[in-house]
Amino acid sequence: MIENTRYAVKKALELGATEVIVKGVDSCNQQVRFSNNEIDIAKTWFETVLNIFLVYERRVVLTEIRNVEIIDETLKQAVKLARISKENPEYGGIAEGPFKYPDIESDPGLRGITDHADYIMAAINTATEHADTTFGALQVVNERVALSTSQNVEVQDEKTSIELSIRAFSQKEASGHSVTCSSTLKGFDPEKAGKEAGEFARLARDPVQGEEGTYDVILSPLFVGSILNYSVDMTSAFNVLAGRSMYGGKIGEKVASDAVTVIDTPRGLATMRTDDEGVPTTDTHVIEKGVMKTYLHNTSTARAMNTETTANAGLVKPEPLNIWMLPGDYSTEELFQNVKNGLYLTNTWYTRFQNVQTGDFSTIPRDAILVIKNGEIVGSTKNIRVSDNMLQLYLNIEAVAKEQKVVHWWAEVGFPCISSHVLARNVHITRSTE
Amino acid sequence: MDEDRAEFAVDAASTLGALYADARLERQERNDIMLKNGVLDAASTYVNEGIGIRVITLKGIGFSSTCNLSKESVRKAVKEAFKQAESCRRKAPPRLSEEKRATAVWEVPQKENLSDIDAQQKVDNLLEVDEAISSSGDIPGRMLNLTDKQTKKLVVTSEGTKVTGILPVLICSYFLAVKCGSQVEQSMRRFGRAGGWEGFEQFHVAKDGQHEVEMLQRLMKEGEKSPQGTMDLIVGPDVIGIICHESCGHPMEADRILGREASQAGASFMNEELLGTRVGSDEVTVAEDPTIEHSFGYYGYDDEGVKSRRRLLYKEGMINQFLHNRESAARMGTTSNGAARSSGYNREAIVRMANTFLLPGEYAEEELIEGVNRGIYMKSYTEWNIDDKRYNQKYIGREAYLIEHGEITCMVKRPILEITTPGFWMAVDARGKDLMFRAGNCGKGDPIQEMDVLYGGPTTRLREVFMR
Repeated sequence: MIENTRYAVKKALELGATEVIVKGVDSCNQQVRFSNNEIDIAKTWFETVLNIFLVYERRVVLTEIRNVEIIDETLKQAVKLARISKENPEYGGIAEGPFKYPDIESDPGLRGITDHADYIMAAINTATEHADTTFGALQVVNERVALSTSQNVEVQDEKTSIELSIRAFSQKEASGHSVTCSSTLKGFDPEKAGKEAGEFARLARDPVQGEEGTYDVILSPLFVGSILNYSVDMTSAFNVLAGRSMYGGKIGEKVASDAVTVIDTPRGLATMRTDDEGVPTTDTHVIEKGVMKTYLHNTSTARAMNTETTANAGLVKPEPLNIWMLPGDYSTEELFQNVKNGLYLTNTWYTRFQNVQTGDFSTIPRDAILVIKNGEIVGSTKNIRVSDNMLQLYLNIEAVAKEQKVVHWWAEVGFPCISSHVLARNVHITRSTE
Repeated sequence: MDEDRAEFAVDAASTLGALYADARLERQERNDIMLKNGVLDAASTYVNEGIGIRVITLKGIGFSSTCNLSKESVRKAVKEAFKQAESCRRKAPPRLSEEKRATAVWEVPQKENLSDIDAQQKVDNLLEVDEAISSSGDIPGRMLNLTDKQTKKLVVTSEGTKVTGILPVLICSYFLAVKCGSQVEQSMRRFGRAGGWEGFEQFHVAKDGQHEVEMLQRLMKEGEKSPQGTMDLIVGPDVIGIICHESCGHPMEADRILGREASQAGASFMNEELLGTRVGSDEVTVAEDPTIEHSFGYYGYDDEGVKSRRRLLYKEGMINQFLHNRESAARMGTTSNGAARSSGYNREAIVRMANTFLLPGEYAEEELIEGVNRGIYMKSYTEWNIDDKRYNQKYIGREAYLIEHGEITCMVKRPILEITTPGFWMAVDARGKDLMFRAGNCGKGDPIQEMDVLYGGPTTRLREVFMR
């Protein structure tokens, strides 16, 4: 792979490109999906692709090559496209290497595992102790990455991960969802995920129609992971510059409560030692004790904003690696004890904004929505929506639990997160009329 | 594209002992242009080629794909798909519905071939649109995207089906953050068409964007608080379109009803027992039709080689017909109605919508308004969402007006409709004759598959719904 990325860089420069990044990914990823306690389909994808970022005098072109026999031809077309393209005066270059990198962290034990069905059955078995039916997916990722650039970068990396998502139903409208996600087989616990999903499904039995109002809420790590995804993506300098962010002009300002510190980190489910420019990845404090510290940058956006790259370069725009909300001092039980009348929201989906600059949004809690009275779960409810302002929701976070969980789930938690239960006060809840 | 590879894959699977196998060989050429605040941020060009193989054995369904089309690599993928099928441990063998064997070639014609338009012309045309829009107001944040893609797809099955499809598509979209004093409002719109470059003119993106800027500025200057209470509501084609998609199309997808998507894109409040029962008023007939020429969701045959056709999901207010691929149809004891689609060779073909819309009626827009004593006219929307069983939904108006005594009296800010699926459809009282469509992007499947879809309908009147 590194031979191909090296060759492609050399060839692109010969053809007239002024800066080049070639990221090669060789992957064999697997997925098993199940529903109604049975496996529906098992899949394997073999992919080898060279992703190319190429610049000719501030004219940026992206392309990819899946057939190494047409590297020369594809690069010729890409350089031709760059030459007739328009100059991007905002383009600020790519990182100058070489760099030193930490050791590769991957789990060879995740290569070629064959006992997917056993893991799934383990999760189903624990879930069905309290639930009737289960649905979900197991995914195993094995990727080898090679990166070469025109700016003296050459680095290889490996990425492994395994994750299982399980949703259990005890009644048609009583469900629970849980995930187990790890970059190593050792950290993967399908029984625990199944048990949690089943337990939520049990607690969610016989839900009553929810009522509108302002509630104190406990948000689960899965829920927190979802809102972190939407909000931290808005800290990408690309989105800020495009006007697609509620964080524009807010560096140094209070954007969350003191309880909230959010770090972008290379350690988590998506463990990686370099960004797409070859800059060694590092922890970036995005929000510290509620104060906005930085946007996520690549070299180009950093120069445009007169700062340093945060090593978050994707080939198109800066992106989070793993989003980590730092743990607080409370146990999860203590959070519950601080709720007199409230709700426990265990999952959410379909978050949409009225206006990304103001942060007005709504999201729909799904799976178990549990009623809390005097710190205890006393029942379940259904058919409600969180209709609020995202910045205000972060300001209303009073406490973060110390127990942490890695979460990653479908499109809702697309960037992996390390999150906790949080307690938020005065959250607006609405519902549909019949 | 070496078409023999697809037949080679299917033969190899049969040799291994597959009960059934199909192969989808695809090649897609795609070009994108992205303007950010009037500057060409990046241009891209991709050729994506590969093959996906589905194998069914007594123990399950396996799928594998590869972008390496050498015989050795395809054989390896077939073996892997077979091995994966055997690992599934199904209690009963999976089944597909019985369908007619098909041999066909379909293609969407282009007046101006997308391949003949060079990048410079596309960039220039997009910059002209950007300039026209940006000159109409204070727009501190704007993104414009243009994508053209040409896909050639061959579906071969072990039952003898062989279908080739050629689909050129043009897409343009914008995001605008419009400022007025200290206020900011946003607009996102998408335009899409199957066909050639001639579609760009037909989109009228500049005119549409200018209207949005002017409308949002007027809204910020003059818009009044939207009243709360039970009142009549008129929704424009944009709004009825998204509602058709979310609260008719999605719940009628049979794979959701069966739970196949339950842990990801969600389930459905529907079940087989509800077929033939009422969900809306007599005015409600929602069609799902991939056969509309040059439509964004057009296809001649689906990705299982089943001929496309019009389906009526809700018919005169009754729950009429689910959307099926061969797997869901077999599970429900019926036949496919050609709804299997995949976003690429490396994704399984699952149940998807194409073009979903409420059939039009006979009223003029003015007549619908005249019939409202006090209500809201919601022409377009900003935030929307729906729960994963497709029952509780919310739409917030972007361009919206107050109607008093049969006349529009002022603009109103962000009226909110939060209602159940039957609650909405039962309140429909009259339909306009102005059928219009909007291009959309639908996400479903795991890994998520983004699909080109169209949705629409006429201006539609509802009686006595709760607004805030």
